[in-house]
Formats: sequence, structure tokens, C-alpha cells
Amino acid sequence: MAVIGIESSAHTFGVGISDNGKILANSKMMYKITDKGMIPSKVADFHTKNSGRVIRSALESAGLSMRDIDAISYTKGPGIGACLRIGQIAARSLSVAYNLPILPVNHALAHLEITRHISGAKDPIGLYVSGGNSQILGIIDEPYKHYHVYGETFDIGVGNMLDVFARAAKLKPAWGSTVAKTALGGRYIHMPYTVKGMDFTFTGLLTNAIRLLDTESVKDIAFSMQDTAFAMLAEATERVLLLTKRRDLILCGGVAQSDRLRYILNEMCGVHRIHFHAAPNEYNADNGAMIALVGEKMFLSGERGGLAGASTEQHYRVDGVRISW
Amino acid sequence: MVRGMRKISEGAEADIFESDIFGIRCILKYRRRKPYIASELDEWLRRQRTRSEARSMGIASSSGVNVPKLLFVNKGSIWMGRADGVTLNEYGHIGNTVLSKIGSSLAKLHNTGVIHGDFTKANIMLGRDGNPCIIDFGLSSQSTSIEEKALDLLLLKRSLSNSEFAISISSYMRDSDNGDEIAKRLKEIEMRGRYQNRSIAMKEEQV
Repeated sequence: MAVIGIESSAHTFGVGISDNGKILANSKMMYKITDKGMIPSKVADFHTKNSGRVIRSALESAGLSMRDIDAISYTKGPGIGACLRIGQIAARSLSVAYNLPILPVNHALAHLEITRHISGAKDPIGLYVSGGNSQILGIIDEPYKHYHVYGETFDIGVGNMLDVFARAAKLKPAWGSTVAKTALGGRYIHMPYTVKGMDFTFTGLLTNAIRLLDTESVKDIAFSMQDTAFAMLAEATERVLLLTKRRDLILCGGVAQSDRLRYILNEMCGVHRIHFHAAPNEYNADNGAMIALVGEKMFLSGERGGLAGASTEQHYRVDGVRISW
Repeated sequence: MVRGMRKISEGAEADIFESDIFGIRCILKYRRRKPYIASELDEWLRRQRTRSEARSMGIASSSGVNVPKLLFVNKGSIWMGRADGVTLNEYGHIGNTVLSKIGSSLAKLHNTGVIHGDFTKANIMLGRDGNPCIIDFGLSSQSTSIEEKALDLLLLKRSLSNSEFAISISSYMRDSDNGDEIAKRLKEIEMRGRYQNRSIAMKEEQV
């Protein structure tokens, strides 16, 4: 049983292969982000040019050929439309060429599921933090088994906030890990802290941080913005954990690569004797392996998909996805 | 003076203790230090929230909303009277009178410029007298913002079933000074792209 998964929701074109829950391959190529951020059509061109190469590389590292593959999965959304469509077209083409079932996968669900899979936690709360999203979720059975969103950002994802700030402060490369480096040893400046129960907002914090660039040092602003945002996430997550009485927290998504965020969440969990798990970084960055893993779970539970349903959806919400495994 | 402190719950930012002062049963809400976040931010949050919470409770109480009695406040700690009963999320069927009183209480809070900030079933206690008591003003603020008021309503809506919310909102509209505008904003917030599926999903859940 081998499933090949294709991810192309943003700047990464990734292809993974899962075989009975074992990841045999996780190949990827990343579009180089400049100070202009991501221009969808250019990223899509990049994906088109490299798709064949990444698919071949994944098959090679798994030691398989397309003849050994039983199903194809791809990211249906959420993501950038132009980028999603390249992965979708690649998946549809393989499906037709090799007469294989095609399974559309939700990107957020894939991050959560691969982290849950690796952690071994049965019934965790998940904090999913990326460029486009920041959500606190947990699986519930009513009215059907799905990831319920307990809390989330009311405006932008925390990763987007870090990226936009990095560009405004002319940091290079302009993304979160550079903000993290810049923040080391920074001094605290008070900034807007907005938590509404289990939800939160980031634009006020971002606007404030950008405005302060005229008067304060980048180091201090980076430190204060980052720590304020992470403290907000930790507080909302803590509230969900205590409300649901669950004993495990999994952290996933691009921003999950932040050591500072991991430290804060791990300490917070320690206070309540909750187990904290974060996936290895290769699965926190966008990747095809998680799409393959979820594709395989869908296939094994009897889902067969088909070309008619193989669409893309930019705002595909995770809480609308029925979990069949 | 203080006898037999017993921790009765552990919240996201504060621990609740039950105790006796001069023979009166009371509650101590103590905001824990969070050594893992920036210490200045931690200090600010504990101080600001304790103050704001006490102020909101004072205003609420004087405008006729049923809240625990405020005994005294110092940095990070609030001592208050003990509300009777259990929280609504541990309660089975909620009667129409109670639902109506909840809407009314929220309207009174908003009329005097208090935003609760976490207005859900977990923060409403119901005792034997059938009079809902609004607790945990830990995330409250004082504001006249329509958006903030609508967000309070949104939290309540998500916490109740559709039919329960219908009763609460009608008493809210009756008692609110500008209910129409707030209800309109609530609709707008729900229509903001990100949340469309969520509210659909929530509705399905409640069927």
C-alpha cells in the first residue's frame, strides 16, 4: 500500500510517499522568497517547471516506480489558488495516466495529522500556526468526526504577521526565523495584547510594531512583537486545554519551527502536567509527506475519490472535513 | 484571619481558591506568574487584568447585574463572595427564563460600557434561586465600541444552541440601548470570509 502526495499550497512544491504510515520519501523544492513576498503567478511558474523533477526524486528515494503506487493525494486547500492548481493538475495527470484513485487533502488537517501520527497522542489539542492560519483545534465526534476549531485568529495568521514585519524592517531573508534571530537579546516594549477568550488578533500588534520602526531598535521591536504574539497564543491554547481537559498538546505548521514558541508552550504545559509534542521541522515546513499520509488514511478507510471531486479551494476550512479514519 | 485555603479550579491565567475570612465563605482569584513569557508583559497583564476585572465587577454590580460581591483587591489577587450553584456548561436543559435573564444581563453590562470579553456558558453560574450570576470578568474591559459588544454576543451565540440564543438575543434587544446596531454588526462579523464555514459547521453541530 503506497500513496504519493503532492503539496503546492504556497512556495513549496513537495512530494511525499507513505507506505502503511511509514514515510518513504519527502522531496521538495522551495521558491526563493524575495523582499516582495510571494507573487502567485511566479510561484506557480516555479512549481510547473519543477513538478516533474520533485515527483521523480520522491519515487527514487522511496525506491519505487509509479507502478507500485496505489493512490494519489494532493492539497485541495487552503492556499494560494494559482499554486494549488499546479499540484492539482499534476495529481490529475498522474491519476489519468496510471488509472489511480485521486484524493483531495486539506492542508491544515495534514499538518495536524502527521504531527498527531508521530507524537502518538490519541486525543490531543492541536495548535496550528502558519503564514495563513493560526488555529487551536481538537477532534470531536459530533455531528461527524472532524477537527473542531476552538479558537483562531480573527484577522491574519501569526506567520503572516512575522513575514510582513520582516519585510517592513528590511530583514533578509524576510521571514519568521530572521525575526527570531533579530529578537535575541531584545528589550521589552509594551505592545497591544489581544486575546478574546480562545480567539486572538494580530493586526494591531503588527501595525504598532511597524510604526515603532521609526523610533525604536529593530531588535527590541522584534523581541517584543514576537513575545507578545507567542504569549497570546499560549494563553488561548492554555484556555482550550483546560476547558477540554485534554492531556496532550501538538504544535504544527510553519511557525512551529520557532524555538521560542516551543519553549513557551512546553513551559505552559508543564504547569498543568500536560504533554507537549512538536513534529520534526521537515514536517512543520510545508511538505508532501503529510499529504501522502492523510491520503493513505483516507484510502484505507474506503475513500476512493475521483476526477470529478478533484478540485481546489483557496479557503478550504479544516472544520468542514469529515474524518473517516 | 484567612483559614483553610483550598484550590477549586485552575484557569488559563488564574487559580481560584476557596477560603474563609472572618467566617465568610469567599473566593480568592490569584493570577499566577508566568515565568516563561517576558517578565514585564507578565507583570502588566496581571496588574492590568486584576484592576480591570475589579472595576468591571463594581460597575456591573451597581447597574443591577448579578455578579459575585467584591471584597478586596491587591496586585494579582481579588477576594470576592462565593456565587452559588454550577456553571451553565455543566447544566442540562436551560430554561427560557434563565436564557432571557442572560440576554438582559449582557444588555445591562453593555449599556454601562462593560465588555465581558469571555461571555460563554462556562462563565455563567446558576444557583437554586434561578438567577444567573455572571462570573469571571478576567478578560473584561470598559468600552463603548459596537464591535466589542457584538463580539461578546458572538461568543454567547457560539456557546448556545440556535434556539437558546434566539431567546437570549430577544431580551438583549429589548434591554439594550442600541441593540439594532450591535445585532447588525454581529451579522457583519459572521459574514467576514474566514468565518462563513465555521458558522455553518457550528449550525450543523447544533442540529
